[in-house]
Amino acid sequence: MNIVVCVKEVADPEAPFDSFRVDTERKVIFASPSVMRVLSPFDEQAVEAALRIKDKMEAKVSVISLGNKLDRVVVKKPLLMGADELFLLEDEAFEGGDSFSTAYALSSAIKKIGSYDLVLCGRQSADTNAGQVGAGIAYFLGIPLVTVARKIDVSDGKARVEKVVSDGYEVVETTLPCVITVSSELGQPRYPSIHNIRRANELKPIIWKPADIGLDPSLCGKKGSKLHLLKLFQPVYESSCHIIEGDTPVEAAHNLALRLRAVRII
Amino acid sequence: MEGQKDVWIVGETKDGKIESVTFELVTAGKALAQALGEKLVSIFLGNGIEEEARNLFSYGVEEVYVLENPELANYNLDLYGTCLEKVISEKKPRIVLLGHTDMGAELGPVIAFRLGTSIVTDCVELAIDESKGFLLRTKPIQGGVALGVFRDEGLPQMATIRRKSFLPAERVTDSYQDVSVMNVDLSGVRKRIHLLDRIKEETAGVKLEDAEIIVAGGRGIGDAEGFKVLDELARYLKGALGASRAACDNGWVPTSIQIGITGKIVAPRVYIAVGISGASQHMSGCSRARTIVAINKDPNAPIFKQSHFGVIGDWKIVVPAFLDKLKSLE
Amino acid sequence: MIDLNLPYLTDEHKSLAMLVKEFCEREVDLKKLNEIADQPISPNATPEELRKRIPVDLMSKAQDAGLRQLCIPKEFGGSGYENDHIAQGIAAEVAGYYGGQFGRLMTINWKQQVGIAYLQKDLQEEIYSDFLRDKSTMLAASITEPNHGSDYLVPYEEPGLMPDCVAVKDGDEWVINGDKMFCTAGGVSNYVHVTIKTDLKAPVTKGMTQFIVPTRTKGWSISRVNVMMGNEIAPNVQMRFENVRIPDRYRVSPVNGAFEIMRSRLAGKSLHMFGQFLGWSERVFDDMKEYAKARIQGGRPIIQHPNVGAMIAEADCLLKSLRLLLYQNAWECMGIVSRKELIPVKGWYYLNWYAKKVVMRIIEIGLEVYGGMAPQKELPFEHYVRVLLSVMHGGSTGVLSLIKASRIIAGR
Repeated sequence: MNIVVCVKEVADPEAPFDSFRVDTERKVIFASPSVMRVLSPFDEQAVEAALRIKDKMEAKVSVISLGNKLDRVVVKKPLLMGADELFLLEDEAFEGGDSFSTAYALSSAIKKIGSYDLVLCGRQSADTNAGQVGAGIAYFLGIPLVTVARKIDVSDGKARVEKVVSDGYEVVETTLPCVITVSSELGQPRYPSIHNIRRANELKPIIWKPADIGLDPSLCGKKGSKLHLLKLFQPVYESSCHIIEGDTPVEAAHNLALRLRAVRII
Repeated sequence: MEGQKDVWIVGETKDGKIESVTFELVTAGKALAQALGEKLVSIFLGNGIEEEARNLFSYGVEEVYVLENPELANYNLDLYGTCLEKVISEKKPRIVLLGHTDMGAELGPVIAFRLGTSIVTDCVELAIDESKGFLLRTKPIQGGVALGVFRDEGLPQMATIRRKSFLPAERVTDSYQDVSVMNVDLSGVRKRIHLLDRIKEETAGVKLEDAEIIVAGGRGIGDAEGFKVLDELARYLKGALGASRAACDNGWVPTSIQIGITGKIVAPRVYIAVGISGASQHMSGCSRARTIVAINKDPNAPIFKQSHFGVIGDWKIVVPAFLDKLKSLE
Repeated sequence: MIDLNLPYLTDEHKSLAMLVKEFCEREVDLKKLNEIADQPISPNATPEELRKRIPVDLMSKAQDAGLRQLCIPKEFGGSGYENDHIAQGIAAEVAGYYGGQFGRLMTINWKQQVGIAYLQKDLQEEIYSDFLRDKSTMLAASITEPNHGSDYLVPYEEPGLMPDCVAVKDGDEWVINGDKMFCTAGGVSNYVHVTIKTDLKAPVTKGMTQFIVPTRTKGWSISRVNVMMGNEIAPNVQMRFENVRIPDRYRVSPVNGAFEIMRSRLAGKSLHMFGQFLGWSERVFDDMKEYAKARIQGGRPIIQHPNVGAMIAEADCLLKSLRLLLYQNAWECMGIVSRKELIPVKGWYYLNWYAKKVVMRIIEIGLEVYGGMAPQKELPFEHYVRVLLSVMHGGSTGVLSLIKASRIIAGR
């Protein structure tokens, strides 16, 4: 069973929101140096989903990450969790892409890896929040797509997926190979094992440039994108908060009740 | 942009009734259609929904298409995707909008890729670029820290809209027209995904998206027991209980009450945020509330920058005292 | 946030640091642990009562993640970091920053694990396997006696001290009698690593021997719990030995040769405690910085007021310098930097002295920055001040450490 998982390195989305600064001129979001680089959380869950399958059957888990100047500690984490190999699509040409050029490059890499029964990725990335790359990969590889999975079981060439919906979940079945996007309802990803951490320095990713996956750089990254960012700005918060006080927390609570009643909010 | 015109919205129905997101799509679509001087068209897929779909005319939709087939009774990505791809290729709308719902969030991108165009998901604002007739789509990124305005030159221009970003349309006319029913031949379509079961995990009481008052708890609540206190307050106020992702991930409450960028988007009259820091991913889900009340013991919590009223204190003391006082004021 | 972009950290070190961070963020409830630590404790508490304070579930999870046994050699079922001092330092620092009291529970054990790795293999097997099996136990060591404390600063070798604890050979066994004053976590330990007087006539440095004593041995007991300000989860205890008999195989140093062994093994000894301590201080400092940025007085955040700003910068500088001293120590232990100037054992002395100075100054700065707020229980600062008082003893006073360092410089 060959599983490919696509992961993205991002700025830690759990960092306090004021550690992100919006540069409207250059149309970029700067994260302060104290913000750590991490795997996009849903992608990490996708790795976990792959490893849970590997726990139960013979499987090879190949991980791909696309970007530039990737943080080795971040992108190696899936290997430390138990994945088998790591491919980095690492080049300046891959930077700044939209869902289309990203999905195209990832699909080309997956085709180069050759055999795949299952392709997993997070339902959306923590930085762009687009949620389309899974659909794109499914399109380029011509295989079915199931999104927002919280549980994946495979057997006899089929995948049985519990898919999160707004009022519960659905159980769907599809044939392999297919693309499945994973959601946080899958549960906590496992910790990297000490055994693998000890090997961390020796673990080496395979690095691919556009030419290695048969792509002209003009089809990658920003150059290969269809969507253009016209404007970037910070939302304006108009409310000014009225802090209700009191000599004790109990008194403050009472004052809050009185106030909200007085202005007919409650 | 030769030959491509009109604004299409992909409507949704549930149990034979038009889903509320469709009315939000009408509002969004209508503004665009008016700016373009083109028609607002709605398309539905399903079985036996012609009568129900006809209602949309009274909301100002000018044309209604219904793709009918027993196999379309329930949403299926392959079938809906193939049908829509076919119809859109034939009819060539300029703009296609879907709701960012369970269906729209995956169907939108799938169709966009098949049609060779782009889509921007989870948009909070839409406008027409006057000079060229392209769609300007505003979407929150980085968990809501920033808003980006995107443009592309693909056709059709596509977007999914975030819930509660557009007000639901109201009835504007009593005149109806005929629904254009298209009977689709699905014999050649490969249905690769099969629905085996559907399990409802609805919480009892007021539905979150419709609640006028929501009491929501975050990481600061600490455990499932703590949420019982919040639930008591919610019930007293005849509202609903909500939670941040942290609380759901910790298993303190079911994930169906998660509010945030990958949870529910709500716009109640009152949103009481307890032990919630105010991180963007969560605030994206509730920032449209009319009045936000924050209770948090951290005076530096970002939520105080986005709320209208606040108490800095330990919720364990503040919430019960707040409830007691409300009861005594009866 | 701890800065992991440091040239001396390999991918392995950084991955380990991230594991510790993630574990703390997911599993450690800082508040709950502080509550346990603050629970009042009677000086007469029994070992059973002390065991109840240990968060066994958390220790179990920490063992599943490979952290509780970080410095146990691989051959005995551990994670095998007993010789990687940089790993120990960064793990301790991160555990202190993100884990508070949990960091303390980890580093107490890690430090002892490193020491035990020098002992005979059969003892290692015995002690380590017991530790892995019993998640409620901690490893402990003790040297100090009532009449030979770190305030014993006479400028000469004084023979014939009145010892309070003595071990006497009897056939194939040793018989131990007396009290050991301070033993961190001794009350929940299954094996204590003790240094005991064996030659009454020789000076202390030439008359002590090290032993492992299984606490189940008849005659061992806790004479009292040292109730200290800012009590810990695994409190410090005073131990009593009443005709405790142990076979010679439990002797782990040459007879009367304890001090030589200890000195040669002091290298790296400080990394755990001071690493954790540093991490904790960095965390409190980050809180202080955020407070100063948010507190508005006179229209501006107080961090922009020159007096507060200068103090915040001073605290930042002190912590960075302490961090460098800590890792300098680690480099030397690992032979990355040559041992010409600062030999490892001198490094421990300097860390011991300097860390205390830095912490005291951070506390002073905190009092200035927080002003009247400082004693507020909601502030991590308040807890820090209380708890650090009980962890700062670290086996020696600062002055004693400097004296010992001066002897090395003088060539004695």
